[in-house]
Amino acid sequence: MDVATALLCVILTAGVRIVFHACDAKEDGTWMTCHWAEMTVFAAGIAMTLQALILCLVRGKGCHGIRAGLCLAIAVQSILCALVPGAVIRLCMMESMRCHTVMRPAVLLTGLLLAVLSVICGLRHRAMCGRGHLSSDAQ
Amino acid sequence: MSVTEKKDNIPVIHAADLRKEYLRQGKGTNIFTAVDRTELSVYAGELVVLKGRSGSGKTTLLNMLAGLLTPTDGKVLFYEDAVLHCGSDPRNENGIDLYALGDEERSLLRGRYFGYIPQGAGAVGSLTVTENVLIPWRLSGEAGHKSKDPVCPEAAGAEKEIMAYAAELLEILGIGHLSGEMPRSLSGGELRRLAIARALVTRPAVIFADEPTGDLDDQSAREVFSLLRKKADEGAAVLLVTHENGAEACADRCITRQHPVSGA
Amino acid sequence: MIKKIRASLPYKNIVNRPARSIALVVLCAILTCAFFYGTMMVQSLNRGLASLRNRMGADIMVVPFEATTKSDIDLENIILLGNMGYFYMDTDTADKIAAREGVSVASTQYYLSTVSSGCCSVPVQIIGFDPETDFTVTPWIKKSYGRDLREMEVVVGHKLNAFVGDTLTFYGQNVTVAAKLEETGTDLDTAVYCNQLTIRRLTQASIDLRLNHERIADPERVVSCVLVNVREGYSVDEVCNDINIHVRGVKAFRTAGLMEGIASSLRGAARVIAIMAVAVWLVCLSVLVIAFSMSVRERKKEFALLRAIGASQKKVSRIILQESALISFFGALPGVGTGVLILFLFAGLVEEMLSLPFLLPPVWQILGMALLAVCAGVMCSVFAGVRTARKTAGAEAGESLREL
Repeated sequence: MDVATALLCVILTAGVRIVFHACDAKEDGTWMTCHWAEMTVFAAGIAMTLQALILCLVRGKGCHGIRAGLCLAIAVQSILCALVPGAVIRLCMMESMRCHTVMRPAVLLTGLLLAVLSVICGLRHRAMCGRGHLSSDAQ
Repeated sequence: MSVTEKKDNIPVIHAADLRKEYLRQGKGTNIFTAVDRTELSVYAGELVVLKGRSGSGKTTLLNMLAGLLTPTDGKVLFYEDAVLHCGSDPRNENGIDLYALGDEERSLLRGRYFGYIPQGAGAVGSLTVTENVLIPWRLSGEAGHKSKDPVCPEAAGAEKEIMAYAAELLEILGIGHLSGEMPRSLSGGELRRLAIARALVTRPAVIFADEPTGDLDDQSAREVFSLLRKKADEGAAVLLVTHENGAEACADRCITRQHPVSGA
Repeated sequence: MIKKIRASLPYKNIVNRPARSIALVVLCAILTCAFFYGTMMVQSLNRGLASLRNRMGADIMVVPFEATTKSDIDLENIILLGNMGYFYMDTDTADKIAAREGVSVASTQYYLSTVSSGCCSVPVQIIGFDPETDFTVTPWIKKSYGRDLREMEVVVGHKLNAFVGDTLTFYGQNVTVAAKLEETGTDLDTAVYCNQLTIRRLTQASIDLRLNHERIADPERVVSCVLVNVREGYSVDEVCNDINIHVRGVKAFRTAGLMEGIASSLRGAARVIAIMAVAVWLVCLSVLVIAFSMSVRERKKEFALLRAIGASQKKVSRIILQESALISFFGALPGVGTGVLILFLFAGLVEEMLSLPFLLPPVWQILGMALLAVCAGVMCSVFAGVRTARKTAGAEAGESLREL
């Protein structure tokens, strides 16, 4: 499940630049507001991907607390990411443009999926954390 | 070929002129008679062993008596008032023709009064060992609540009592430590013991056992025969199909069936 | 209720065979999703067309002849009012059209396209209408905005990311958003509407910025098109032909004719979508029937055992059908959920790709269809299990045990 979380982070980060990117530059070479929404999601995606990699690499019985914390952090960030296009940064004026029809729904869907997966992952780690405490108490 | 011995009391189950034919598809259509004009009675408190060569129709006869296989001809009569722990009921002096009942009624009756140990180990894979053992009780327990017939209310049983009895049976059969396991993790012998416990959990009036010791070692086989003997002593009618020689020692009667074709 | 379900044999059969159960659940999800999404797509296309018909209003549309010869102008786009660029005719020509016999009302419209550069907030089609004679746009605007538009006030289509009170800039001129219109499911949703005064000011501003000076000589002397309603008792075809013959430099056409073209394309698209949805549905249903059948067959011994130890035919049938109903329910919910998610999130993209009028049904209708899809999914799976249940439960326990 940790690997799935990391994979989804990579999909969101790479996807927003390659597949479901925002509108192209204007004729005069300047960028529209949606481009900055794309870049914000990209930057946040990099941060989440790094955290997800740490989640996968950190092993050991005593690390479930750290992993649960990382999962929670990813969940919160992914929800904020999902809200960036449209709610945090306003997109182009015409809703028929690419930023509305492709980027926004794709980021929303991926962000929410990532949030759900991270929460489930975090709960699992938290539960394993709890079991670890019990066994150490028993000793 | 048939052997019938009458006792002074009424039999619990009686096969009257029973015949079973099968259609064999081979070179031309071939009718094969697995059981031919058989009469057999089993009494309460009696353990009857049915022996014979492979293909002599032992399992077919057993299944017909257990209400699982409709005979081509003849009747299977079940006498409720002969069941030890029930009072006599004048309605049933002539016996209940099992195959005159509908499927629902017949299943109800089987669930309440019969215990069946099939040939070959079988269990419901999604249920634990204990849950498997309790299946007949759940089927008869539900049926008992729905039925208006007051006869034999003990068959339903309280849940705690039945669970305790199930645990006791599993211990007696040596698989008490596997009560929470799934059937896929059990060996053939352990599954066979599970099947035996399942058949006995409702304290049935009639026990049908088809090769119950197939996967078991000699010691375990003797223990199973002792258990069946004990059940017969407690008042159940037991019909046992087996190849084991040790079974005769605990039987009240031995019936040897002959091969319908070869006569051996 | 939940506790009872979780304790039941069908539930345990599902949970203890995860691989098989997941495969069946996924199949049911695909089946339900295809049914729901296919139906929604067809309904949305039909609603888009109905919406477009409502918006049109005019019997005849008259445009400058050059509009029909320019390769970058699509006549159908004129109906849908997409980015069609510039075409103009003299106001005298418009007066001649209005004077023709059989013309009941003739209303002029003026089109201006803004550009994607610093002088404009957004590249859109601006439609200027004459409030005194207009009969197509005004009723629609009046629904969302109770009074007449003032100068430098605009009404925006539903798909413009602007709200009441916002200020937009076109050719350096600020206009105020007075109202936002209801969704139509057509490209009318991306247009901006204003009165003739406003649009002429904007046109002059564009000329002053040397952006449209080659296209438009005098903004006060030109119009883009004339919308005509035919007087009662006159044939639309006859009036249309009359204009084409007697008024030079214009092309008149029946809007109903063009609408029929769009309707035909739409029907074709709807048919393709419906066929695809039915195909997916049939394939999934067939696979479900086979899968359920195989799944029960591999447990023939178990069911024979249940019969042998006291379960009736009815009981065994019920177990099999409950299992198929549970699986289909667990599959139908995520299937429909996925369909709803894709429908709402990607409606814009679908509309862009189809280039046809597309209007989602109201929320209550979508939810109703979702519920129907769940029921249909469950019923299909139960149907898939019925034949197998009958065959398995109907077999004599003794025969089944004998075969194994």
